Amino acid sequence: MSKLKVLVADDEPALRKLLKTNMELEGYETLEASNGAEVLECVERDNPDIILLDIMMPVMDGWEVMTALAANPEYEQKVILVSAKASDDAQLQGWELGADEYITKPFDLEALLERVREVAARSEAESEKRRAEAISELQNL
Amino acid sequence: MASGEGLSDLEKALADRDARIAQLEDLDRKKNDFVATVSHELRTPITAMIGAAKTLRRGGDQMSAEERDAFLTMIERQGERLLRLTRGVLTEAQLEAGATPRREEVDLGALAREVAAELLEGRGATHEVEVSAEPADVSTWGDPTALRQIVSNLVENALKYSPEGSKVRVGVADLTSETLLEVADDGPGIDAAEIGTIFERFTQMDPSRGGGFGLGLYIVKSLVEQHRGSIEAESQPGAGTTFRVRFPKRAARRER
Repeated sequence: MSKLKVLVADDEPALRKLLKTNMELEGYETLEASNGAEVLECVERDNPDIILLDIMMPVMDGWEVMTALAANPEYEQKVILVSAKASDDAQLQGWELGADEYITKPFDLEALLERVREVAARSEAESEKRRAEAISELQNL
Repeated sequence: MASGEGLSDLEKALADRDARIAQLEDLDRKKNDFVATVSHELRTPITAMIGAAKTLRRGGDQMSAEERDAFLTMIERQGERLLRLTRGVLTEAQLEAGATPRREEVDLGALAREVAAELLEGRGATHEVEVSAEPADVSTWGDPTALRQIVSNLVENALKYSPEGSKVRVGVADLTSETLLEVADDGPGIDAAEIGTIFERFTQMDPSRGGGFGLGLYIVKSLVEQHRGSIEAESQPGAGTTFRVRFPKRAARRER
């Protein structure tokens, strides 16, 4: 099975570097974006499996990205919101917009990695299922 | 209206009191926002520092020497950022307490070059900073720590608000009646309506620019005034901003 692709989206270069390196240590392939518009470009171009998405970013924020992702059923990315917005309202909004996980900053690295592993397992299981369905559809033709 | 004068005095006193209450309410609200901003601003450097140390611990042996060094640099820079942020808060507290400043001859051009180099190193050289001095050694009489903070806050602001790759211009000049310090950027500029408020405490033009407590320019103005100087901002939306600080010449020395 090919490596899982993780897109790290944060406008803060230090946090991007930190997350990217740790995703690589986990054995994932990584991509980077520093604002929401870059996230959507990257989704369109590279089709990542998981997005670690900051909310407060310039140009286009995380909420707008979530809305755009939700509007297109072809996008199957798992989204883990990683944000300094810690209020219940923000977390609820995240879930409502379809986030798979919500992690608040400052985050504990081990806890974040644990959540990413869980989401990665779900992502792989789902793409495996989709592949099996596609094969059986082909066989029924 | 009966006995007009007495009543209008009373009305005036009431109006004054209402204005004062509104002022205090506004300050209280700003202080609350400030506490929220402080805790938010501290999150990034703290997360990065702890995260970098943990990353080195879990993955250091799989990394190249350069990669390890990049994480050590991250810890250093984020620590410095934390220091700058807390220093701002401490200066604000000192200003409120009315601490007595030191006075000595400070070379403004050399100071500006030093500060610019430090700030650029901390950000990874995203911009260019040009320092020009006329004549070559322009000095002023002041508190070296305060002067450094004035220059540092102005240049940091300029870097924060101007596009990557652009040039921030710092000029110092020895004029007949005053010493001039100018910091000019190619940022988005400031609306005429907002330009009056930028030196107020807890004011931030664009919090999404990341960084800061809305204290920087307030501290600059207070420190400049402590040096009996003045500061003004000249700006037009879309055409950048120039901050101009004027320090009086040191006539006091001759009077002694």
